[in-house]
Amino acid sequence: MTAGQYIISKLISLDWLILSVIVILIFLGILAINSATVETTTESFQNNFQRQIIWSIIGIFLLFSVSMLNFRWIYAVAYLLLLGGVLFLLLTYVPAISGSSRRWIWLGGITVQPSEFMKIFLIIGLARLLTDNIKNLKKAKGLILPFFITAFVTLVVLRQPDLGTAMVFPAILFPMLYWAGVPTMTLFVIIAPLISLISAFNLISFVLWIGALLLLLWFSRKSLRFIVIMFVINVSVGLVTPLTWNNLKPYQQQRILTYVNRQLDPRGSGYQVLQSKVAIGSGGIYGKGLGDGTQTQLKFLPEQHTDFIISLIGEELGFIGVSVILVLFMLLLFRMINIASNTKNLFESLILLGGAAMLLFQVFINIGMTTGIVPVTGLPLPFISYGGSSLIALMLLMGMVQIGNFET
Amino acid sequence: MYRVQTPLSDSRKNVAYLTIVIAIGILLWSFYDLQVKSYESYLARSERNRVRQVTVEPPRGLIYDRNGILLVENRPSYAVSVIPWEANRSPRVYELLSGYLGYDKEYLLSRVKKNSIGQFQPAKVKRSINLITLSILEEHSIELPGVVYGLFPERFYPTKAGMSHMLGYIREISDADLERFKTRGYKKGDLIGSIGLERSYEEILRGEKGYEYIQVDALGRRISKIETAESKSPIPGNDLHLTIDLGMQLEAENIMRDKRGAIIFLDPSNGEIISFVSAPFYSLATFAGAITPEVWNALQNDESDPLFNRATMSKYPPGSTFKLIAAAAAIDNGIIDRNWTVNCPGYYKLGRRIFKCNKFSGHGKISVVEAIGQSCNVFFYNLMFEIGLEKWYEQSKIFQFDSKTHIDITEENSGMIPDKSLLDNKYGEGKWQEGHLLNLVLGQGDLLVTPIQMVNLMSIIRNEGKYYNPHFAKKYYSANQEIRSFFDIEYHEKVISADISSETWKILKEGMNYVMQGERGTGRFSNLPELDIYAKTGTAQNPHGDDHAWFVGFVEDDRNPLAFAIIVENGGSGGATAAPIGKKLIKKYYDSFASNFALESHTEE
Repeated sequence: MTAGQYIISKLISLDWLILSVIVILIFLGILAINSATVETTTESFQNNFQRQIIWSIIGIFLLFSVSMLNFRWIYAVAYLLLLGGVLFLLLTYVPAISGSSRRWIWLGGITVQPSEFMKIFLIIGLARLLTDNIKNLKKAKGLILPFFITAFVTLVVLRQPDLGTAMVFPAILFPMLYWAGVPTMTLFVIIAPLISLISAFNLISFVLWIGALLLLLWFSRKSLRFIVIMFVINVSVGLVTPLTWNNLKPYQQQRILTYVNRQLDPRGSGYQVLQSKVAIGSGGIYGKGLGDGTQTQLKFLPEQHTDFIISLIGEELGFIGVSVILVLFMLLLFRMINIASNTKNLFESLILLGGAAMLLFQVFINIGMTTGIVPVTGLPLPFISYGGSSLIALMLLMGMVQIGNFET
Repeated sequence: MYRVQTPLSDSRKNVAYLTIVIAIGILLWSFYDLQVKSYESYLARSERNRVRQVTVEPPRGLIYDRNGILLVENRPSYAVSVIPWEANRSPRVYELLSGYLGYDKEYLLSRVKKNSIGQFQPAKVKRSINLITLSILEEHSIELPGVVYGLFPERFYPTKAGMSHMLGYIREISDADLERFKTRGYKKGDLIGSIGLERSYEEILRGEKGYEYIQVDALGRRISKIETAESKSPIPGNDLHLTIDLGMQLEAENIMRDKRGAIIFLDPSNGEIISFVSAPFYSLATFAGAITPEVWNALQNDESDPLFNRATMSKYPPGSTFKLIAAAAAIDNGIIDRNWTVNCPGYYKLGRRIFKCNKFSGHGKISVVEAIGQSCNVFFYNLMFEIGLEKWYEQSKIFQFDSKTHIDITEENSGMIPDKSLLDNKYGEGKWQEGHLLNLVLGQGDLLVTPIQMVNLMSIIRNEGKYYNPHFAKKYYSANQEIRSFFDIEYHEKVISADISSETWKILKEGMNYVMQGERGTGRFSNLPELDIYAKTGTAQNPHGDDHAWFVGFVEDDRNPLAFAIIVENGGSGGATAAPIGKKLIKKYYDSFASNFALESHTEE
């Protein structure tokens, strides 16, 4: 097969459903960014709109380029990519090229957010790691390295500080482990104390959780020793957490909260969510029309072109517009799971599943915070929010999804 | 290898599909809830909608004297702010507003830029505007979109006292402080204690900001508070109660009104400062509102340096008051005893140089107690050669002259006590002469102390080796008076390390008592026979002009002991200038107890 024939056969076999979904989402995003910036006199906002178009074009080109590759090649360089991603991420700690908050680095006139690329490289790295260790995944041995690597990048990003992005890494790891065949009970044992810790801040939720835990354990038909150990561990986590927390002085609690999430300004985010809900709610079923959102156009909503872009869409395009976007995301995710299920290639299957987990998590957290059902943490909405790093990284992933389709 | 594929069970696939359906379903439902079910109410809100979050400033804590007299309170005043997003749309706003406020347009713009925390948040441009300006702004509000004003408590000083160096003032937070205290909730344009007690007790005084959400109309005017939105009432700052006695403070300030120098009175049994004057001082009322650059420059360029805290930061030669250190060093090291004498002919010959005594005709044969009491220079010249520089230096360290007293305001310096290496450095090894030693023993030369260090020395001698960090703060109450907190006295207690003999303390006190009560004591004309006063006068030569006059000491009293340090710059002789000031203030202090006692017994009848 000549190179030309190869390219043509590849193009023919592209998944045009996925491609169309992506293009529509990006197009809607550009419309929204334009609407958010059209009335603005500030030059940088106008530039945002133009820049996003340039990023989109570069992104689509990258998608096609990556789709020409072969998973065998990606498998070969997977660890190299992982290492490269980590080194790139660590560059944010080099004062000379990073800003005051260490999320971005300066690369010849443009700012890049390495943590966005880290997500993709982590997916690739974990996919190979799990593929190579597929026989060990039922034992602790096979789990140590994936956990260690994920924990490391999570902490590095948490320290930047960027809680939103940091949470994405565990959200990728657990579904991938599940997909690779790690027993559900093992994952449950790992996650349970975390749920105990969070639920312990409220007595009722804690009691409910412990009850549910006991029921689950009972029906799991595990040994009594196992059940007792699980129970003791979870109850003690639940008891120790609020005690420790309540013994802290308010300013210490505040300091920890601020440390974990610098955006956690109860007044600032409360204001944002209130404004966001008014914008979305007042959009109604049909919306006020593109460019006619009063909330949006009066610029009451901060960050409306990045993290809160769905509020603008909700106001201007209404429930219909939002539903279209949600359905598009659902189609995309279904299709990715479908390809991941049908491929005979575990490495590729895991990449697709990891990518789907990442997309779902970001969609849920980002949109959930604009309607107030999830606390505010900074995370972009895939394909739609303004931001070059996020879009380019996603397009690399989507390029790989296309190889997956070809090789199924 | 990588092609290995374990067969995927259907259950995992189904879990994946189900997760997606549930997550997207929850999101859809939350939009349905907002956009379909609650559409009407959100639409209504967005019609009028201009939700704005406003900060509600807490009143800053009040400050009282030891008798509960109000020293610092708050008065309502108005502050004007600009919401950049709205004002930027009609550029004439800045022109008009700068006219009404009496600012340059450039200055106004720079204020907006400096205090801006976002396009939609009000940036404070001027505080303490008067009612006339306010009504002008109100009248022209239609031409001034984005200009808002709100109540802003301002410091007010109801007494006639100055107290500027002690109380300090509040100012808009600097960028450096903003960075330093970023976790404590400060925003640009906030006020923060800048110096003095306002700064050291900032955390106690500031209170906690509240906030609420309001709706504003198209002109940015407040319509109503949004009751459904979460709001938080401000928590007022705590009221701070000081150890200062306003009566004594006023008297001391009055005396220093046309002088330069410092007066500190404190209770040596606990370190509570009773009056504290650094003269000249400035009026805190100047700093209550927004201070103009002209006023600030005038204060900074004032030759008499009223912004400088002389009581804790100014370094003076201590003069003869420092003879106490030499005496202590000699006695405690067993170099002399109380019977050791020197014959003073009125001068001391060192090689070919003549060093004069303060008494031309000479003191004759004189012991250490008399030498302190009469401040005989010749006695101490002789003594210094017996002690040597090293022991003299060690003794000054024991008496804490190498460190700050850690008074509860941050503006404090330590003095300078020369040792061999310092003199070697300054004059070259072996280049400094014995004459330097004779200068040092008289409290001259390279020796410098602060007034607060001197009053600390008095506490140490009075308490025979113990002192308390001098402090102004006694206790604080939360605004609703529910929580009363005392500052721990134990915290202030310090015991000096060396084990000084009781004989040393006895001789020092006898000498200081002789100053007041001896027939030739240098302070005898300022003695108050009914009181038990111990003191030391000092006349410090100063190369830049007339001598500085010192009077330091303490009053022994079962219930109300007192320690004091007074320095009058260029005041001449300590006995003639500073001691009478001490007498007047000591008399006033103890008279006030007498009259209180009379008052109490009167009311009991």
